[in-house]
Amino acid sequence: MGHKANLRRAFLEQLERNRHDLYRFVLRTVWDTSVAPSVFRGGVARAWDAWAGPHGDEPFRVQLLRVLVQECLAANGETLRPALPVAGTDQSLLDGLTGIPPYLDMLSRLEEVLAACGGDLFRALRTLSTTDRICLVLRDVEGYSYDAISRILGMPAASVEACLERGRCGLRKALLHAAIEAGVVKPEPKIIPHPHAKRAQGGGAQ
Amino acid sequence: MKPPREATWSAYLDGAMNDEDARAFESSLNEEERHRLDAEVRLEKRIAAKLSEEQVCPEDVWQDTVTSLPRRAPGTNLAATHRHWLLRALGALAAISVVSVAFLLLQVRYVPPEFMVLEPEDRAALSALSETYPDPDAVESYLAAHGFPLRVRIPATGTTSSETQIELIGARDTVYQESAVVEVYFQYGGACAKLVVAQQDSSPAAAMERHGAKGDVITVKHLGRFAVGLVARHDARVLLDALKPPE
Repeated sequence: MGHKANLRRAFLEQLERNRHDLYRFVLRTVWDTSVAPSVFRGGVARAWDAWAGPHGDEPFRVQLLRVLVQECLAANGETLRPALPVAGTDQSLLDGLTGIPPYLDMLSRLEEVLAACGGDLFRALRTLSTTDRICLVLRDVEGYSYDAISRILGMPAASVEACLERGRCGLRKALLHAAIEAGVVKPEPKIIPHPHAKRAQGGGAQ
Repeated sequence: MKPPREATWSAYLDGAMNDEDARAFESSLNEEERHRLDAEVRLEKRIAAKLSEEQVCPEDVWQDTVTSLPRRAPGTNLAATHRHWLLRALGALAAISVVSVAFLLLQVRYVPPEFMVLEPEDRAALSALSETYPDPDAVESYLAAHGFPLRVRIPATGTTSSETQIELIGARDTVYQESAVVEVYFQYGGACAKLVVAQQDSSPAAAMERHGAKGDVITVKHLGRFAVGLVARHDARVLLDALKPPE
């Protein structure tokens, strides 16, 4: 009886200590304030059942996050979507952005862009897949390494890296689009062929 | 696989490089790329700051969460507990089955002692086994000689029919687990029967009591310090009155 009471107390103490951070993780992942409370409750209840005890192999926070990840995915109606690097490409997604002239322009005027479109950047987070968002939150907020994230999500570290890049690229594209819409950044000029150029080409062929 | 050159941008922004690799990467960049990297880092920090903004778990959500936790201790998954109980129940069932089978086997293998079985069951054979004359006094003397000073009184059945009259056939002694037993043979109701006499606290008496439903023992009667068992294959309880305690 005493042992059970001690286990209960130990779990609740650790939960209390991590309460706000874990709730933030749920909120950032499901991105819906009306759903977050029930996801948090359900996740904690499941973690309660699966808890390995105060002397388990993994930290309490990691155990909780692993369960909460599954709850969040279920709440969003998604499954893990690992992004594997595409074989045969010689450009990463991020590197590909530099080929777009307005992107480099946006980077050079970043503070101005963020002042005008910071809200759009935040809204763009919602458009990412849950898996990409989870990777970003675990990396940028929790500070976990690829390996740690891969253990929490149960997918290869290379997939975690690819998800982070895909998420990061998605946010940059959204920011660029918002900046162009707001007129802060000029769109890429469209090259319209000169009407005589074709005729001249045709005449030359004759 | 991505060539290392492109992969390093992501690794750098993720902080997945060690210091040495990060320095090497920075020094490999030209002026334009260095400006771009600075901007990417600033953007990344802005995203991280936005995601890390303080978020409080509302008090009502917290209270709901804590109060809705199961009463059982954490780490005791209900399904696992059910499985645990199921295993225990199956274990108990298996143990009961083993004990039952063992009991049945013992019952099947159990052969009652000869004195508890009416064998032989015809008059001529019993008469041949008898070591006394078919006379109440002779049987009484025989009993007394074997340590059972009981009186033999053939009960009157009130009829003259040979079917209902009691006929004394004789008696003989036997030994069961080093305890003396005397069998007294009768003919009654068209069939034979016997009374088995033993000391009250002897193993033959205990065997008759314990296995009363086995063999041909119908019932056991106590006469002072003696136990008298009726061994028959028909209702011959009236024979129990043939033996009386000593005066």
